[in-house]
Amino acid sequence: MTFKLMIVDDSNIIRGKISRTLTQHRMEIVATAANGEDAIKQFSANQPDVVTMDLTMPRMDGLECIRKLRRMKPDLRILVVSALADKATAIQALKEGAQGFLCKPFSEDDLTDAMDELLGETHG
Amino acid sequence: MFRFGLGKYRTIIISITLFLVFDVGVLAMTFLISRQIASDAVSLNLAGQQRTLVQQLTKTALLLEQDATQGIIDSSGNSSFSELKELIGTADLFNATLEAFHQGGRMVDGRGRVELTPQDDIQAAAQFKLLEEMWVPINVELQKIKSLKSNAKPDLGPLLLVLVADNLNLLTVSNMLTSRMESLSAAKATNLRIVQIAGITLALINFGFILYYFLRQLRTSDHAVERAQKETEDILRTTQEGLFLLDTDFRMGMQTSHALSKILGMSDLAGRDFLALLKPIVTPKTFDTAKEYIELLLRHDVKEKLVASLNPLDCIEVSSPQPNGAIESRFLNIRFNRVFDAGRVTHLLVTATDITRRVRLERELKESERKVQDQMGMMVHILQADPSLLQEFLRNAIKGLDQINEELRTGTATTGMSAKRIDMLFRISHRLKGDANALKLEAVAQSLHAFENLLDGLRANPVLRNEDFLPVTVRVKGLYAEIHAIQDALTRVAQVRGVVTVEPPKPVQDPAIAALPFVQQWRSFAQEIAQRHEKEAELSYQGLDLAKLAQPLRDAINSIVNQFIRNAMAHGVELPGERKQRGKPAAGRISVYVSDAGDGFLELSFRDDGAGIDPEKIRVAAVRTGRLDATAAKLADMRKLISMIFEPGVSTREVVDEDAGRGVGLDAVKDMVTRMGGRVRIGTTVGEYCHFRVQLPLGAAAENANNMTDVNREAA
Amino acid sequence: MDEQQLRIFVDLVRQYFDRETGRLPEIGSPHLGDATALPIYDFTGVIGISGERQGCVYVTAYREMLRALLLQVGETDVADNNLCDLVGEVANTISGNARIHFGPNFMISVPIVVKGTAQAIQVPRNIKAYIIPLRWHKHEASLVVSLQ
Repeated sequence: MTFKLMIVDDSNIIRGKISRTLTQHRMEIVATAANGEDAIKQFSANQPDVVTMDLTMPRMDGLECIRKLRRMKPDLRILVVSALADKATAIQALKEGAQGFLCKPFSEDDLTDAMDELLGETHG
Repeated sequence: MFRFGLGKYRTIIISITLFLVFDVGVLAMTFLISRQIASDAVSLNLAGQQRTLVQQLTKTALLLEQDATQGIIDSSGNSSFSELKELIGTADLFNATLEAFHQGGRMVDGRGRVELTPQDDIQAAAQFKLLEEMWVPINVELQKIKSLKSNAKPDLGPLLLVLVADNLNLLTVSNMLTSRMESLSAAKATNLRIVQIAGITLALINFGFILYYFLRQLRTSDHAVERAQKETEDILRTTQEGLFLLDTDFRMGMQTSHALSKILGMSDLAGRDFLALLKPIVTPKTFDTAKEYIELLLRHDVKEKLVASLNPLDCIEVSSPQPNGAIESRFLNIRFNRVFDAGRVTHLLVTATDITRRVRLERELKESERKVQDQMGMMVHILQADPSLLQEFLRNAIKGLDQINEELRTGTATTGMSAKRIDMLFRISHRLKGDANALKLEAVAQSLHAFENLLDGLRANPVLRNEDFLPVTVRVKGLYAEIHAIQDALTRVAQVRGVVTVEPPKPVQDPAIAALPFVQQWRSFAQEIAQRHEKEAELSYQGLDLAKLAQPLRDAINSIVNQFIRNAMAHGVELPGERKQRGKPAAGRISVYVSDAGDGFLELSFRDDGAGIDPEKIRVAAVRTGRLDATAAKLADMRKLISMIFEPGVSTREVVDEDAGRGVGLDAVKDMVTRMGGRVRIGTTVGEYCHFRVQLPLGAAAENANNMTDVNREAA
Repeated sequence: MDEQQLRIFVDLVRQYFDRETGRLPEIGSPHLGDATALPIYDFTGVIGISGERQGCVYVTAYREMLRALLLQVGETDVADNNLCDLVGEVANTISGNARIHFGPNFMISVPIVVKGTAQAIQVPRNIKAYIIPLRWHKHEASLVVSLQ
């Protein structure tokens, strides 16, 4: 089964890296966004199943974006991809409804492993 | 946990069902039989009544007969009439009872209506039948009387006849019937007891079985529980990790591993509030994050593996004060794993580990890596720098810093630091900076530069408080550290050298060269001066045959070498005893080497393994001879001081003798070399060596050499 | 460190005196001292430091100063026990407040009091310590900060 993915990150390089890695990993990239506002727009148009989300972005940060996305689609799977500068913020993001956290910088294997874990049916 | 199939409990349920069946059976039987007994009692009663009725009947008939005989019955016939009526009533009752016994039916007895059942006992039936048969003729007569009109006088004769005839028999049969029924009823009561006893016995057996089965089950499961408990205890007692369960209210479970107390440094942990326990040992921020993280795991739909990196307790430092005021600090790793029941998170399994060793090792590794890198950078400069100058610099630097610190220390609380003192600090720093720059110790030079900027800033400050000097002190400490680092690095280099250096081979002395006349002359000159100073000397030469050089150049080199020999034997080379103490051979070694550098210059190398040049002595000498005032001497750097040995009138010898002390000699060498267009360089390490390197142009003018000869003669 | 941390310690000592006696101590010229030659007077309150940096901070004072301080705050019993308590109290105040100022990687112990110079105070070897002389009512004391 192929999942529809939206990548939200203000870094072009990170977007590219996630996109390249996950295209080869049963993912179809349906949208990319560089900020929260754009992400909300893209979301309505493309209805992804999974979202990778940066936390610190211009124009609506990740936290608020996650909150809004969850309201739009409660069973949306969200992976926070962010630097570990502030654990408290990351935990806040998870409480808003993300299911996983991947720390920047990450390797391609880190990313695919995290995706498998995120989309697996098992608990934990 | 509370879901169970019937399977495990089938036996017990069957047993209990049986128990109930037995009990209900006994109850039902008791009910039935006691009902029968009750009905039997009625029958018995009625049977007894029949007997009485027969008696009554006979008695009434006899009374009537008697009345008739005596003519008592009058026209009104009241008394006789009532007796007759009683007779008929009695007969009817007897009849009805008989009928009831026969066919079953309702009867009214003293206690009300009762049901009668036909008798099924054969014996009783036979007796009953007999009774019936005996009753038939009596009944016939009775019916006759009964059918008479009320006024008619009855003829009681036939009735009395049959009554009297059968009275005894009727009584006997009635009696038999009654006692038969009594015995039947007694038999039923016995049956009831038997049924009850049997039922209760069965129920008791069943109960015993249940008890036995239950106890066995209980024992087996108790054993299993005990074994499981023992295993759990063993695990909790033995594991090196601190283990416990955390419930959704952040409360710790009742069972914790023994190691936990030690790891957390607290006791009585069971049932405690984990957050309250955590609060004092971590920072408020870590505490908040930890609380959030635990809540995240307990109450939110996240992937455990994908949030583990956010655990704020993966490396926390806890510390406990020691009696000597030091703090023992340890590093803990506290991990959380969800415990699920029926798809819901019920607990977190918490694992606390002491990772102090690991953290320390990691830190040490990092620190040593950093140090290695720092030292590598330093090493590059150190290896490039002249070792003697470097050593000198370091000594001066420490001295300078000590001086600065002394200035700081003596600045009193009341007067504070004066601008003059700051100037002093500045000068010391500036001198050191110059030296550091010369040695290309850029890092040190930069630090000193920053220090000077700091002092400049203070100088600009109109009012100075002592605490404004805090940053100065901090910088000084940093400088000390930098200098010590270089010293450490140098020591290492020296160690490495010590390891790789083997005993240097004795200079290969070509006998032909050794026999050259000028070499012979130098050697004897060295011996001669050595003897004069009670020293020993050994001179070796390598390189060109001076005879092949042009005369002026040959003379110049000869003069210079002689001067160097004199200087070496008078100043540099130590007395044999002192040399031995320093691990050197008794005889001072002088190596002379002359070569054509190939660039139009002739190169002379003169090296002795004596005490080297001590700049402090030069400093003192410079002041003594008035070449420098005390301040200038204090501030003079290495280069300046060493260059002074070539200046006229500066000698480090306090006592003037023929070989040294007047301060002439080396200045003449310098002078001549300069005039010939060449140059002199010196390398020296205190206690180790002194090395002069002279470059002279091959086409040097002869006249200069001649001048030198004069000098030579004069000095000698 | 060091400057900022040093300043915090100095300010804390100063605040203590100011609050207790209404008179600021004069701060002497800060300088460095070797581990073997640090000032240790009659009474010393030591705070152990661990974490990112290891070492100790102590306040050491002469009997006369502590006595004067006690009298100033209205305590007439100037027996050694009370002097010990006082220097411990100074160290305690510094320790307690320092906790607020320093980051999480800076652990500060409960202070201990050392009487006289006989008992050695454990300071890091091979490290030059900062010595900040204090003068209050002509009495001398020192704040010593020795951190690796």
